[in-house]
Amino acid sequence: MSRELLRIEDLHVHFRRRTLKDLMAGTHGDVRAVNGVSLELAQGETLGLVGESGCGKSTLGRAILRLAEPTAGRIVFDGDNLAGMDAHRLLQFRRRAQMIFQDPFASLNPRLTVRETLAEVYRVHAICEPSQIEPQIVRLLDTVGLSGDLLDRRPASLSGGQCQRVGIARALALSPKLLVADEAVSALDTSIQAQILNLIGELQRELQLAMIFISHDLGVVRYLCRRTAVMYLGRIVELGPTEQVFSAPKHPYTQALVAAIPRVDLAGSLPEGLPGEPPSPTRIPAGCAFHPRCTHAMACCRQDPPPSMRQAGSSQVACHLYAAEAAQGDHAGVGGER
Amino acid sequence: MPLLVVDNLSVAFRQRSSDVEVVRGVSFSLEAGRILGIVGESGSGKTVTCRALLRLLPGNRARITNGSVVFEGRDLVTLGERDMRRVRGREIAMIFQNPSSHLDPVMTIGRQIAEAVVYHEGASTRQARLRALELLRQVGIPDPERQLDAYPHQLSGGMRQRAMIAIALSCRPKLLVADEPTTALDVTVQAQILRLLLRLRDETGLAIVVVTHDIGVVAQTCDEVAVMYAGRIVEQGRKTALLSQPLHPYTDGILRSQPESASGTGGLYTIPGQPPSLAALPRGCAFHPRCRYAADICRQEVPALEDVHGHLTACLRWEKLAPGLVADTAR
Repeated sequence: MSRELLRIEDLHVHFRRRTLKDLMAGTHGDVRAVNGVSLELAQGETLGLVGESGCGKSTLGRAILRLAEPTAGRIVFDGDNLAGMDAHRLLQFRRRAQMIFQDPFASLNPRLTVRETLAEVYRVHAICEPSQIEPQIVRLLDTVGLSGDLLDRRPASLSGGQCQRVGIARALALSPKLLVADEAVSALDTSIQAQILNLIGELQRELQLAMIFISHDLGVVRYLCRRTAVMYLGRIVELGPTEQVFSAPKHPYTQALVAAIPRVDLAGSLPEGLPGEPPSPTRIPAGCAFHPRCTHAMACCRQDPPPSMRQAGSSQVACHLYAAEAAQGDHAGVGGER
Repeated sequence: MPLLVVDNLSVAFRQRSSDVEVVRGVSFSLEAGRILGIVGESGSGKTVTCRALLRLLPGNRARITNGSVVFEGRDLVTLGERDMRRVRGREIAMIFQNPSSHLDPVMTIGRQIAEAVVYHEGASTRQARLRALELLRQVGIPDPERQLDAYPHQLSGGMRQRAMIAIALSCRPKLLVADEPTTALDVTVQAQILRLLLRLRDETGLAIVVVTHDIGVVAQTCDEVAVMYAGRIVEQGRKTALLSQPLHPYTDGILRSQPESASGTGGLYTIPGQPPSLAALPRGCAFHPRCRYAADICRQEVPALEDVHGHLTACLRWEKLAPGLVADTAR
């Protein structure tokens, strides 16, 4: 295992939201978007982050870059604690950690040309001589497979795929060590999506980038990431090697999620699927947050929060089902394998 | 006789200088109780085709330039606006990608459903409310008595889509046009909505046209598939035939570029380039600049749909994809 790049310890991100009703009832309506997440990421490693909308995956991604302020917990990047960094140190940190956003049009300034957008990065971070900026930009465009004639275009005259390539070029301009990609291909058409996925994959391998790839599209994550974390209502419920998570999911939620992927193969019948929808992160159910939708829910699931992540096979799971197994001793599992 | 027969339908949009044809010579038919999927990328004309069926195009900018849409013996293209209004909602209903922007935000769900029943069937308010309740139950909205008085913003995305389906079904239409009905939804909710559509088809014999860019959705729901590229249907056939042996290089490319069909380390298969602008289509086959099988003939001739054992393809060199098949030219 190579050196650790990022460590997240018991991270919470809550958004304050107090309506008149809450005030009168004396309750609080805080949105607990991220609710106790711990993670590690090694240099050059790829981690997929999946879950339904509202599960907190985007907020977690933004918190890692301090685009959202953590309420509690620690984020340590390359040995530095992110909390309490002043503006100067934050700027230095962002040279090493960058983000690609979902909407390729909305994440570029519509009034800047491609050249201006990319030059701005070098100017803000002042890492090279002004005379060196132009050759750097040309090299960058070449890296992401865009032709130099596009330098003087504005986003409005670029296609979605081209805009996303500009977004990737901007993220790579500073040779970061960590890339957070939030739904980077979701807004693109199928034929363009494959091009961008290949590009991200190639660059990740060439530049030895660590990457957190956030997506609701499980097929894309399976293709791109070595490890996968599944989030439900602000917590990671399962984390393991991607192939394990997809071919032998442990947590009942992961099982339902994987079963719901529409498959092109012709077995063709629709899966039984998961009943209900995720509850609101303002009112997270007691006990295990997933219990109202879980087909395996037991009495303890309604009362006690699930144990912290336990080993189950080569994955880690936060679920009462596996806690019971672990308590009975590991030899059962080992014996089964022999 | 099929419920719906679309023949050689073309739609043009007015641009600054000239008209741009965004749908060009589209033909298909649909029987009661069948589901047709229309697949394509953005700008391929799939949504415009759907809207043209119901004549829901922006009147000042778009017009149907050619062709017919025959629904139960009547040509909807030439039908008067008053009669057309009776067809919409009552005989053909439509649901859209983004339920929040197609529901009235200041009207309860119950009243929005009842409105259609009162308008089309002349029901009393009381009857209409009972019907609304029954519909909410039918589309699987939990606690329907309470949700009847909910406003759209109080419902989740999946529940809003169910409410829109309830409105669409309120007058028992024979055909449902669903434009990207699950694109805005999570996979788990998507599976619920697709299952709902299949159940409604089985129970009521509803015919459905589903527009989607997601091949997986097609594989799980449709009986027939039409693939659109640059305003034309380039391939059409039974789902199983089309997905297992595509006869158009575009369909083949899309299927192979799915992340789930990636094999080993070679990276994903990609279709090079990007879809052409409809205002400046390449000569010959519109797909030829991106096609791995393109030959000289593809740059000159616009391919017509050819029948290969009941499977239609608009490719001059489809034999390259399926060397074993022999063209059904004997007829």
